[in-house]
Amino acid sequence: MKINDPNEALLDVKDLKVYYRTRSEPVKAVDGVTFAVKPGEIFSIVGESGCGKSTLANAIIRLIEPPAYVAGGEILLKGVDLLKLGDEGIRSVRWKEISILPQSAMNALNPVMKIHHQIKDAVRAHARRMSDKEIRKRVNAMSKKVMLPSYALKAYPSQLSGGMKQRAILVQSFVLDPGLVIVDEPTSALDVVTQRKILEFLITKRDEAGTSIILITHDIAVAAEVADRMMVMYAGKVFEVGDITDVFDDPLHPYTRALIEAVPSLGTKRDVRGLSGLPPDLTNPPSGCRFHPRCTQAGDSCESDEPRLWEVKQGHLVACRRCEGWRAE
Amino acid sequence: MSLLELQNVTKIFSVGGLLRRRHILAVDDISLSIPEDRPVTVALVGESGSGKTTIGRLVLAFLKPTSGKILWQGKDVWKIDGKERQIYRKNAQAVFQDPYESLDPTYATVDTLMEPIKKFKLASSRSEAIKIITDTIESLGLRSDTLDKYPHQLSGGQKQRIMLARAVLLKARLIVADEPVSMIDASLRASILGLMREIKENYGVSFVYITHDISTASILADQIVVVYLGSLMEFGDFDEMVTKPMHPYVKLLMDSVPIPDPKRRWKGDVKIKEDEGEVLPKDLMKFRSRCKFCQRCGEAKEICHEKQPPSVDVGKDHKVLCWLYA
Repeated sequence: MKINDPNEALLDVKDLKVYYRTRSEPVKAVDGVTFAVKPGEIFSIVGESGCGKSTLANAIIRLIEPPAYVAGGEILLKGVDLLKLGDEGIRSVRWKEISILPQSAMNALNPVMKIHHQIKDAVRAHARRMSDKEIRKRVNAMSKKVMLPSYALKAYPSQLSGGMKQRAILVQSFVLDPGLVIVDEPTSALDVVTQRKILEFLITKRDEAGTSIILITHDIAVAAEVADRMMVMYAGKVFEVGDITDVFDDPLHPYTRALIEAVPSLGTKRDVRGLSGLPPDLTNPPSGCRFHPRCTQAGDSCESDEPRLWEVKQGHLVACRRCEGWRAE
Repeated sequence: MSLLELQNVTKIFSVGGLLRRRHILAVDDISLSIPEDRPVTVALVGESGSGKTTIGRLVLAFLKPTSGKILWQGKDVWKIDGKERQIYRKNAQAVFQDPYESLDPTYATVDTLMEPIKKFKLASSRSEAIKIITDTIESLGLRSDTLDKYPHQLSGGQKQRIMLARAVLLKARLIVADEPVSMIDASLRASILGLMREIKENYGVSFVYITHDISTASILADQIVVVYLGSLMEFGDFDEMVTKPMHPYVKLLMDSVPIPDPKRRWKGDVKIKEDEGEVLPKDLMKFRSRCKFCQRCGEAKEICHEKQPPSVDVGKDHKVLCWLYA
């Protein structure tokens, strides 16, 4: 279960850098991120606002626009570098091979178009040869799975609740059965019951269709509920990657530990602790480890040397100099 | 006597023009009280559109109820005036969701905090006022140099601390906090919620904590009120309701809260019927004669579709709006 084994990975992101152009120094929103997603797994990317997780998601499917630009790296989907595809090439991959459910997608629906027309339009744009009948069949089948009632398909967005709109978007992202779907904060504006329904749908897709899902969330509890593996990001960097149980049982990075401790849990009266300090300014990130000003474990070398990801045990990687066994190479 | 009491409060908004006037039922016959003898934190939980924010605004007398009464120390807040009303305004304070909008961008922190001191004449001189302000913000975990800073120089967490400091300065008895941490990063949330708990204990302030996120309430709530489409479905002790919820909707809600532990994942499927359509707020008026949850409820009986359920006392300070217990 090596994460950098390309033979096993569906998506292989290598040293990806996505910067935002500014008048002075670029903002390094994603700065040398490497990870791989295996077929049929839910891979969760967890981090706080501004850590670069949404920029990363949009970069994978080539949806970033200026002032953001890819400053380096590779995004291999089944061995094909998405960054090298032309406009037509990427269009043939989107929706069929890889699709995205962007953050606050439900606000992106066209208010003057009925839901089923919007879904049909989107499908049509990417699968030109599909017949109306076939599209309708797929939409209806997918709607059943996400429990989107038929009246909702015929409604305008304003007639539906947030949960219903979110489900309509889910239908759209999954209707062509892509092998990889990126979902960016799919449930952050929803009540817990609807959230659970949507997360259970993702699990079903993984189990039944073998779909790989990248679940981007700020809520570590959501990751704990559904993810197979998880990656923690901070200030554009990957801090830790591993099996979800490994990361929760034995969080190696002090930041991961702090994140887990900061989350209240229902039913267990444990004392939650907040983290002191603020996330860094990415135009001028701290030297060395970007977490060192807030880290309780930081030593001198953390301020000067940037830690690299290293595999502490099988499949569990961390970027921290203070972790036991660290060897500066 | 209660510090605050809601007696059968209903709020109906009228929207639209003359010809297409519609009535939206936001709060439907809610009764609730907060004791005077000890500070308590009541978590007011519900999904978006459930009316929880409207309840908060009614408590603060920003909105006038369509029917029912809101009593502050036994007196109807819409019948008092002059000095009494001013005292009520001072005693019931608000902290809102968006800290970026609740502070005047042209005011330094010291000006923001000086305002209420002047208005309610809490200090006799400027130097005394500064001393009170400095002591208060330092006890709430802000450094004194924050006083010279403007809102754009402060983080969301710091701004919420300033809003809390403002309420503490006024010696508020009740703070209505509407989603105060939903825009704040997870790692900083816990400290704001912990601070609210400290304010309750150290300054004897009661809280109405409005949230859609029940797990954050576990840090500070003593009691919990669950609202659904404007109705109070269940009210009781927080720990008791988390472990033994009674209303089918509350059961579903508690069961759906994600737990930050991959070894304790959800089991089984959620039993919820949604094919029958959902109730939109604009249609709610038609649903007043039955249980609002009956269409989605897995345990609904015939009567649930026909008559509005009664509020049943199922224990000390524990109420359920459900036919199953009537």
